[in-house]
Amino acid sequence: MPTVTDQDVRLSPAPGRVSAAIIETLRSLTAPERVLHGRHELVAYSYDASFLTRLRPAPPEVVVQPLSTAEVASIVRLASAHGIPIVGRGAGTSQTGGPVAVQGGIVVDFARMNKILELDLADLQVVVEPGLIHQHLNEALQPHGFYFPPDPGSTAMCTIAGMVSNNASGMRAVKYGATAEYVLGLEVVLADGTVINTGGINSRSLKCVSGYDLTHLFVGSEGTLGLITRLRLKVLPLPEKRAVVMAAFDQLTAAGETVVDIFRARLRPAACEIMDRTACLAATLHSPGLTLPDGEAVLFIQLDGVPPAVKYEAEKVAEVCRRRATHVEWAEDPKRVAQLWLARSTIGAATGRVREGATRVCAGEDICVPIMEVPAALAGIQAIAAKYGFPIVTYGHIGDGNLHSAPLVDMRDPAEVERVHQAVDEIHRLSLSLRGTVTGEHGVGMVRQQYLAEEHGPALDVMRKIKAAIDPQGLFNPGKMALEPQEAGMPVNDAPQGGQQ
Amino acid sequence: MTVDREPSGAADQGERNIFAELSRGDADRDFERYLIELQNCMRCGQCRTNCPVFKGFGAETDVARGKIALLAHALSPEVKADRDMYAWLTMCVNCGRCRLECPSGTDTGYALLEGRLRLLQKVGMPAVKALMVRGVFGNEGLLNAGATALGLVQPLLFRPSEADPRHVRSLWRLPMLGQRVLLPRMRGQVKPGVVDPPGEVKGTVVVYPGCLIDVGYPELLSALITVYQALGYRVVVPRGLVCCGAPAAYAGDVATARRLAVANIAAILPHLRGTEAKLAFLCPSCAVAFNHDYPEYLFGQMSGGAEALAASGFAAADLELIAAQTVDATALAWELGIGEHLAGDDGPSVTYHDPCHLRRLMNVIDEPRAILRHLSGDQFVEAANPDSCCGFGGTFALEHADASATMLERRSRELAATETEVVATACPGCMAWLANGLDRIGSRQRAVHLIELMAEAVAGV
Repeated sequence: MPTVTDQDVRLSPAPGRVSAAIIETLRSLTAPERVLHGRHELVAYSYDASFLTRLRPAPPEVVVQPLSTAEVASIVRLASAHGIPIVGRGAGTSQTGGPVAVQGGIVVDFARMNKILELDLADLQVVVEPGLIHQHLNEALQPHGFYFPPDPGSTAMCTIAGMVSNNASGMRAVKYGATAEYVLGLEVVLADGTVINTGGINSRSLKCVSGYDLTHLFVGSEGTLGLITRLRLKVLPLPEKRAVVMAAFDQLTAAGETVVDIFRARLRPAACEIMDRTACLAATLHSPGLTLPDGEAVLFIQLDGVPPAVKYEAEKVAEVCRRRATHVEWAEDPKRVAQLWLARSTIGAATGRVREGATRVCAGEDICVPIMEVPAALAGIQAIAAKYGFPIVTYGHIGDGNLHSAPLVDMRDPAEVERVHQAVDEIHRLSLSLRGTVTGEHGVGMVRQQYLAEEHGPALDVMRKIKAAIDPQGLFNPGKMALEPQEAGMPVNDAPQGGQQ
Repeated sequence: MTVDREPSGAADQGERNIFAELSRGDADRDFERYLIELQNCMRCGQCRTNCPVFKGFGAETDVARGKIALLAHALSPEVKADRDMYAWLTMCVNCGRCRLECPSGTDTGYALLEGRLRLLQKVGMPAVKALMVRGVFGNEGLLNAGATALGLVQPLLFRPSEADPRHVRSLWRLPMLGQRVLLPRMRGQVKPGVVDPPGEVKGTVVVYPGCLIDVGYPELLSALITVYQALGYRVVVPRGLVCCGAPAAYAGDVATARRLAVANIAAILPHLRGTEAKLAFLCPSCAVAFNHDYPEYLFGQMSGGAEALAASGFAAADLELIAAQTVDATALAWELGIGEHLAGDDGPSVTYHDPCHLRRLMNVIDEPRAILRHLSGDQFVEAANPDSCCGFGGTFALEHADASATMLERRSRELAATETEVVATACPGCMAWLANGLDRIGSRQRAVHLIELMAEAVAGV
């Protein structure tokens, strides 16, 4: 077994390669069955849910499945000594190319570090391992009357550290905020193998302002600064009751104004969702028994809390909706709530089935605009779809302006694939022109790098300085988030959208 | 130990749209259908949620998304297919969970079977698997001869299991499985024929027993006859039945599977045409072959399906008739009111294991539980994680013995934790495998088929 010495350290920006000796060392640092390096096995780690990695899958050189922080630290030390890229991976449900080893190297797959270490409910917190599945955490909390509020659509398979690394959120973000609000502390392995604890080494406090807020530096850093090996998370009491209001509108602008009216009426929905005409069509095609009121848009507003308050709020929301809506319904009976919510809950699945022979692709799928610009964004997306000649189904979290658009593409037509790249670029630019962002909850990864300079200006240089200070060799998840100095690393401008750097 | 390095990890190799490159439209409809199905997977990862193989090992190669990505990768002309790739693709118990739960509606069952079929044409089947799939299951004469021969040599190589008279224990660790194994004591084969109930004939069930019952557990058929006699039903075991073809179809050997299917359809159709008779199964995997895989895959979407149907001489309506009449024998008996004929409440303490194909693909979930509650009352105990797989998966248990053993142990421990006397299930494959699993962890629980408990209760009335 080769020993790693300081002389082996490479300072060259060119990524090191994974030799047979490195693989042998990884096997001895972990266990042979947890080091995957066969030609075919690696194909299964060459993608995430992004359209980009379906077109250009990038297999790593080796995949390691650690079981402990000590193992992760030893893997990082080895990689660091040889200048080999390290990419953390949860469930690979991201839509950005984030967990794909685009420059080769080692993928650290956290699938087996998936335990709940502690339910400290008296202190409103839990301590968990990074590969824990989000839904498994909530299943464990539910009998105790608690939950972890962020709710991405991929709850059944996505991992906690994946959510933290991308600062994911979901429908409940409008009331409860994104994942970041629930991260109290992180254990992180840094590039030299040092293990740090953010938020205090022994702290169980629910607030902390001692020192820089390193916790939230790592939240949303997409694995570019270190590998998260343990998380201390805040949990909340589970609301006792939920109600749903559904309202249909014959104009997109009326839907947008209604959302603002709801907030002006001092109401605070737990979710505030919109489906445009394309999405309603998709939902009814998918579930033929479903009847949706006709209109340009349908709003689904969820209320949660103690029963009398929920009833009061639902009635109030329905009243506000009636000012502009063509049809309003609300329910607090759990069965009827589920029926009203059905269209919204199946939309993710339904989109893929709208166009025979085509597939839903994840690209340009996460813009976030000011609430009052949501109607303009929806109309703009439909204009883009008409211009490029393929359907784009759009739905999203109108309560915070976050829209998910799903282009339905027949990849067998190369000209259509080319048009998708152009359309996606237009969607991103539309968002920036409406004073929005290119991503509200999915992240940058590979696919949105070309917009960061425009969106952030000189702040991007600060991000690069932080990256260089914490990960000077550029080992962690290279080729993402536009963090490399332009002359080295991935050709950022090579992405098919042809955007500017 | 040295590591065999292959060139890989060149990372970003530029944009490559294999679907556009290879599409041939109507020129090759079978291929185009396959291409569209592979394209349809949007890589969302939903199949990681409930895949029983993935639960054991946590490797992306286990789930449908990984396998479909590998199949799409293998489309590239410059990618060399090999047996290793075939082995990854068969790391699957064909339970159908990923298909039922796929948000984009990808028919993962079809994609994986067609993928194996296409791969098999390039790399051929490993010899041992071919011997099983084609030689033994693919050939009724050899299967029966093999069973007879095994019956003759069994006393030399195996000794009776002390707790369980119908099984014998191997004296040595079996080479492929790496451990000692309980096998059914070979007692000759099921004979075709008709058994009438004592009184008025109220209806007919045509029974397809399946290979395991045929060569290993003929008493399950006897139990079925006892139960249906109590209901006043005639039981018909048609002449000319062969293996259902599932092992061959799941292996991608569609030619063998189709040959077997044709023989079975020819044997069964005359008993169903123009009658109200149901086609009853004690093995849900066989049932799914008849009610789903024949019409949807073998004579449907899979390459050459339309031509094979035309050549078979059967019409699509014939397959539909078979599919429509296919039922699980225990659930049908419950529906027909067997409860009235069963002694209630004093049965053994019992837990239940859901066979994947019965629960998922035939949607029979409540009936077995209702039967067990009737038989054993409060002594019926639900085990944890009722949706778990026992790890058998037919040839999976031999081909991927380590993975199968891990899944079996996990499931056996869940069932043993109920501390019941009996573990009931409704599939001879699950039953045989659980008998091994419970034995290996030292549980004294008896693994039985639900139909046996029902027959015992009929006798007790």
